[in-house]
Amino acid sequence: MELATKDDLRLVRESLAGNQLSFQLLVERYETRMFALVRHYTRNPVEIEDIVQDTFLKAFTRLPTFQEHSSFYTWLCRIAINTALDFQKRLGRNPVRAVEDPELALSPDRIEGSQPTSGRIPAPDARLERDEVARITQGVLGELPEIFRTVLVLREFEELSYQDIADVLGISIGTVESRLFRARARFKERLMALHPEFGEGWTS
Amino acid sequence: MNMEFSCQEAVPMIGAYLDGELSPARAALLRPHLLECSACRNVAADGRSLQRWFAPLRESVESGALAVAVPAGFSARVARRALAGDRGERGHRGDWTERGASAREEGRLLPFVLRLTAVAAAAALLLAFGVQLASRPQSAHLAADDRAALPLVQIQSELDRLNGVAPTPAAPATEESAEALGPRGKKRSHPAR
Ligand SMILES: [Zn+2]
Repeated sequence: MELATKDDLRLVRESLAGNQLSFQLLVERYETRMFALVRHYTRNPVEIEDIVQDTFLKAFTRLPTFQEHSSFYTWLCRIAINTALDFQKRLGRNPVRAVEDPELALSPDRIEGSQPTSGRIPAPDARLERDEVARITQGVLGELPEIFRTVLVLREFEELSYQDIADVLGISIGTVESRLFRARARFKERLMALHPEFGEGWTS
Repeated sequence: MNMEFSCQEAVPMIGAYLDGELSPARAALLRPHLLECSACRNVAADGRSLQRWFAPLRESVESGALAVAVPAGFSARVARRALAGDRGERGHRGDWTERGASAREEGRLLPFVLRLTAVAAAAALLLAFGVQLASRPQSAHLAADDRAALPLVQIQSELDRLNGVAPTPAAPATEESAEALGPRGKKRSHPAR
């Protein structure tokens, strides 16, 4: 499905040289994934389009700074996430972060799930349709503080390696690991709070 | 049980272990603990359950069932603006709605977007408080709930599989070997690794 890296690089170089069609091809290659990524930050299609458009416009102006040995997709993810968060800030959203930075507020002994005995998480009920499970997961993700949602999206949805996540977020691999751990604990907690029915009747 | 290595140290490593992202040295610490500790095997089983919540989301989006449709002509429009020097860096609030609306009918959409924004902000605020209130009794209830452990056979075969794939424990984990170790069969390949 994915064309080779050297095609990205070729398109980047041609775009830098002012070739509009090359940049259009680059946009085409990643637009679907960018729309899906930004969907985790707003459900409004108008806003999603604006954010993705802005992401590509920013990417274009920053093409001269793109390091050819790195992944264009990862680079684009970083711009898209920052653009989406910027957008939330401008509209005065993201009150969770303003009230409480969840990472600071959680002392290590308070982290949910750090004790192996604290509640179990069931796998999705086999009777649920795939799209139903997807909607539930999406709903739970949407309720998480941004810092946790982002790291989960990058890992579980974009399937990036820890190194790539570290690059996208500008944090260390160790921080990726601990943030993912907290994010998963939060996800589990919210899933069970929103859907207690999944906690019952679950066997082995 | 290895007293040098506690559950408290083990639990935060399990996610990275399942992701195939634990260094061989740290994985070597964790494996014997998992073999001996059923509580931590439960955590590992939970980690796998969690993956089963996320896989359908990926698939539903990939299949288009949950995808956001890219508007027709999007790439051409963006490329035209990019080459025309529309930087996309302009700062102040209002730019967003103005540009979003310009592609459509200006007057009708703008008030709708602004109204939606206010509602979303209020809802998010409510949620922020709701989350804190709702979570406590729930986790207490769950903590009391003791469920079946992952069978030892299963964790052993998992360990064997992982060991088989990575025969050189001294080598640092590269992205390639990490991906090979990963529990998911299907990995999206990303360009420009
Ligand atoms: Zn343990």
